[in-house]
Amino acid sequence: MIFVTVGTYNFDELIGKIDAIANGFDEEIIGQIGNGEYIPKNYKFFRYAPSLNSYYDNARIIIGHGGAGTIFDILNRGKTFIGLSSPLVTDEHQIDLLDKLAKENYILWCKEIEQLGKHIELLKTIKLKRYEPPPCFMDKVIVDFLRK
Amino acid sequence: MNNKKTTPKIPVTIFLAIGGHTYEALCIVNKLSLYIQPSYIICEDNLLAEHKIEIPGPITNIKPSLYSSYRKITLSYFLLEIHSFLSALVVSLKHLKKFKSHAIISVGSGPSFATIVAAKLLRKKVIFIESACRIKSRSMCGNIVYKFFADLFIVQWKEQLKVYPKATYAGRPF
Repeated sequence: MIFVTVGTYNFDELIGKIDAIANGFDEEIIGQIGNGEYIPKNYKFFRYAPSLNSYYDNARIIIGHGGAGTIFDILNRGKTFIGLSSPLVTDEHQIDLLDKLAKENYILWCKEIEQLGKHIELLKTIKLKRYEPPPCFMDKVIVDFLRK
Repeated sequence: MNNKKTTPKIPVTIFLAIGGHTYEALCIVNKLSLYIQPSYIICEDNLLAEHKIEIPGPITNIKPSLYSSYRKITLSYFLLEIHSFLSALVVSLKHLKKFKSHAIISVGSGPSFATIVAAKLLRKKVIFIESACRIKSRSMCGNIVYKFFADLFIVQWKEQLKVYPKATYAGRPF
């Protein structure tokens, strides 16, 4: 299954692009479309769900925007992710994150939405690296600070 | 951190703004579960956050104010936002007093600004964690909080220490 997620807001360009290429895939596609206006005709969709966990876990490929919450939730499940920067975000910080993670080979970054179909095909031949979080001692830093 | 069982848990308020920031914040809360008693302030447009909380605590809802990256901040927009900012400030003051929070933790979100100001007015500690979506730049809220409000400012990428030289890097919980 290919799962497409837009998170809290919307990403009509992505939901529409998937709709345009959906019939070319012999795999189920499910979309989480947020508060978007574009209604997909060629694949199943819903707006929001209390949890996306079961969709993430059942997906072979997940496609979404470059927000940290979405990406790291997916990477920590060992799932394959194709990321696109959301046009809703006014500065370029999603590009920084997508660029960084793509350079590390943890994700596939689709810079041009027209290339999305090609990127999905590309995953048949290339292998992404399994994400490992860095050592974390944030809890210790915060607790020590709170007890000062 | 040695006397885990005997040391009482510290009341701390966690601010939950939009989806992605909620994921980051709750990963951190889960790591702190042995040491803090969380209470939550949740933006009203982030109702799904409630379902994602694993360490239970009392919840207060506030109207969102002061977005950073999803809206363009113009003067008229800013004036319109003043009302929601003030109401968020009052609700935050009540919450922090009622639950005797020692600190507020916010992960990189503009709407938490009123709650941060409330915490400062009450002389509570402000812990601000810049979102992991930032690597080479400052968020609008992070920039202001870094300069004027944060008692502990944490970044989640080593590269961010170039952007925020006085910040603390302590890895990432995800």
